[in-house]
Amino acid sequence: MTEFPVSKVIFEKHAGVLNKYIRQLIEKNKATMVEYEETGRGEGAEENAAFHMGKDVLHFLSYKGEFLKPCPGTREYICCGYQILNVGTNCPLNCSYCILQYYFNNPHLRVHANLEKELPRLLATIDSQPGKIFRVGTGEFTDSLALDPVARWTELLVPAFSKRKNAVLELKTKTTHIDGLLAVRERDRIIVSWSLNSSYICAREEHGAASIEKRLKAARRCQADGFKIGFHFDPLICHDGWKEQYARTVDLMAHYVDPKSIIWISLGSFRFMPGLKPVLRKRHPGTCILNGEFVMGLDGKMRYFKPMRMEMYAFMREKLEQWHPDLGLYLCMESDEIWEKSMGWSPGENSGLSRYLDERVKTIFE
Amino acid sequence: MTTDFSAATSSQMVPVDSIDCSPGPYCMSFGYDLNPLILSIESVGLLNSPILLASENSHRMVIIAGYRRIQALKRLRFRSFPCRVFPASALDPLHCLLINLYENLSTRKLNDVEKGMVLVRMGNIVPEKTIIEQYLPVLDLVPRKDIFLLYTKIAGELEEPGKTALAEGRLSLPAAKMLLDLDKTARDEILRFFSNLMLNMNQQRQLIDFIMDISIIENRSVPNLLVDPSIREMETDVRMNAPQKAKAVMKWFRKRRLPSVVEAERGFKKSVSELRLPDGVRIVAPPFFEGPDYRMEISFKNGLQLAKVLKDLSTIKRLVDIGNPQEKER
Repeated sequence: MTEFPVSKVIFEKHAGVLNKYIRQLIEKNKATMVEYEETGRGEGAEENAAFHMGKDVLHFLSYKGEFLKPCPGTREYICCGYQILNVGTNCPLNCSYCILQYYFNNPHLRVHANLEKELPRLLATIDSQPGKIFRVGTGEFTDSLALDPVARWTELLVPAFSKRKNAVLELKTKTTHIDGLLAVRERDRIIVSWSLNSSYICAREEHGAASIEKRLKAARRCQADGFKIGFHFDPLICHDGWKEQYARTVDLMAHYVDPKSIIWISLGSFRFMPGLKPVLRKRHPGTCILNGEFVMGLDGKMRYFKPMRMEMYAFMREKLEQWHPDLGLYLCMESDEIWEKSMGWSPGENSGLSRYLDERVKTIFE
Repeated sequence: MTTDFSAATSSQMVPVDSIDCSPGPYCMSFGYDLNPLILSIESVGLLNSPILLASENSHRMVIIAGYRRIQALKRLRFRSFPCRVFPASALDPLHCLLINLYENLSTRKLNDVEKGMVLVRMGNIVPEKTIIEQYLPVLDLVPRKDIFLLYTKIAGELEEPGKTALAEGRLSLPAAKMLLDLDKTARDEILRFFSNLMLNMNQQRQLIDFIMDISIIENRSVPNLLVDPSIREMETDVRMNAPQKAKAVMKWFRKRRLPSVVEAERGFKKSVSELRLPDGVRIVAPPFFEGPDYRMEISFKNGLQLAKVLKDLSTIKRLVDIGNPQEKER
């Protein structure tokens, strides 16, 4: 059922229903079951200080914050206007570049078990603005499908979003956990997308994730089963032989999937808060992701030197457009200048990129 | 703690031979200069008596507070001096530690090594959570576990030269934190290297970052990297003073770590100098060429001069070429 080992399951009382899948997981892993009345926000922070992310502890809790929030973006770079549906935090994968290692002082695989209770309220928000297209994703703070076998997010969310004409739900993953998704009847307004990288980075830095080929095979299954699909080359990482390696990934895409129902493919280069660097060095001493030439970006994050980013984007654009001319390519958090110089056009500002992606939604789904 | 133990003490002349003059379990002095205290005692005598704990097991008394005063008195060859003495049973270790802590805090600020010493000593007798919540704020520290761990590591793992540099302010706390993440060999070598340079706080942090990155990327140990002939040459160059050496070293490491950035900056500088801009005109690229805006500064004495500068500028055809030379090549 699951491919991640769990030694302990924490279940907050009143957080939701302890389903049969969680019980199976506990049995299979001979995991300890702990029930709390309520856990504080800082619970478990000590483990994080010691750089243990607590990835073997599955924690079902009642989330007190807003479930649906716009991607914060930054003023200096063009943001796509995405809406983040915060269904949980952390995931069983252990990608060296994961920004959550820095952002969260809450370890454990956290599933926000009150999602079902809160869902009507967030759907009402969507329904109250019929003129606006909500591009919603669950894959920002966790992998959308890694925990789906026990969290059963797809069972709950896919039918709810399928009914709405002014929203799409994107499930972003590096896994092949698509069985739950395929078992759901609805297909409309759902995008299943995979984060892709070079096989070199996948093997070296994306610990616990499915191979690129397996991800693409899963994408093919979803596509064949009627889902629209998307891809995200984010983070693009500069390494020896990166051109050949990324070109090979594009070749594999061409081999496995039909480009016509791809809604979008994003490109983003590796960027990180400076404070993440010592964490990476400790948690992933053999990593190669810090080897490039990084400079301080306008948003305070470290980014590859601009000419390098432009070269990577232009290369990826060329390869992807050779495969198919209409893939909905876009850049994640880049400047107007980089858009112009590497993509040949620019949305100009946030609203321009939002319009472009909204149009993709209309083209693909309507 | 509100308990007043002063009634339990007796003030008495204590022979120096009957005192265990080691720092013992309660004292937390590091990196101090004894001379001002010696001068003070010489001039006006001992103003505050050291505080001692009578020992149950031996004849020698343990210092609770006043370690430095006793060192100074010894240096001045006092054979006995007035002390406040607590009976052995009057105080538990935490109280002794707190007497020392508050006595110190009432007269001076503790340096970072001393704060670490306090926390390590407390760690033996007080639960960690209590230390973090109750005593870190007393030491002017943010009550967080990572802060507690950093300071106890400073006291427990940083070697003597590192502690001395930190206590004397030659090594910044962020740099010490970075060094503590390295193995001892790398740490020792970097501290040795730093001792020949005069680096500011930012430079220290950046240089450690450069050294570690290059060491990892080039698969060379830190000692091996720092004996590179180019570095040795800069270190031993008698024509340069310490700040000049620091600048040269930073430049060398930056070029090694960020070759494209340095090359672009050099190319930009060259192309601007080739424009032969009028006097008083300066063109500045955005940091790392990341932002969209270049900047031109014009210094002028009056409108007439400004008009002339603007006219001269308008005749420079190659102004249109200004930009990151590497972006044009691609």
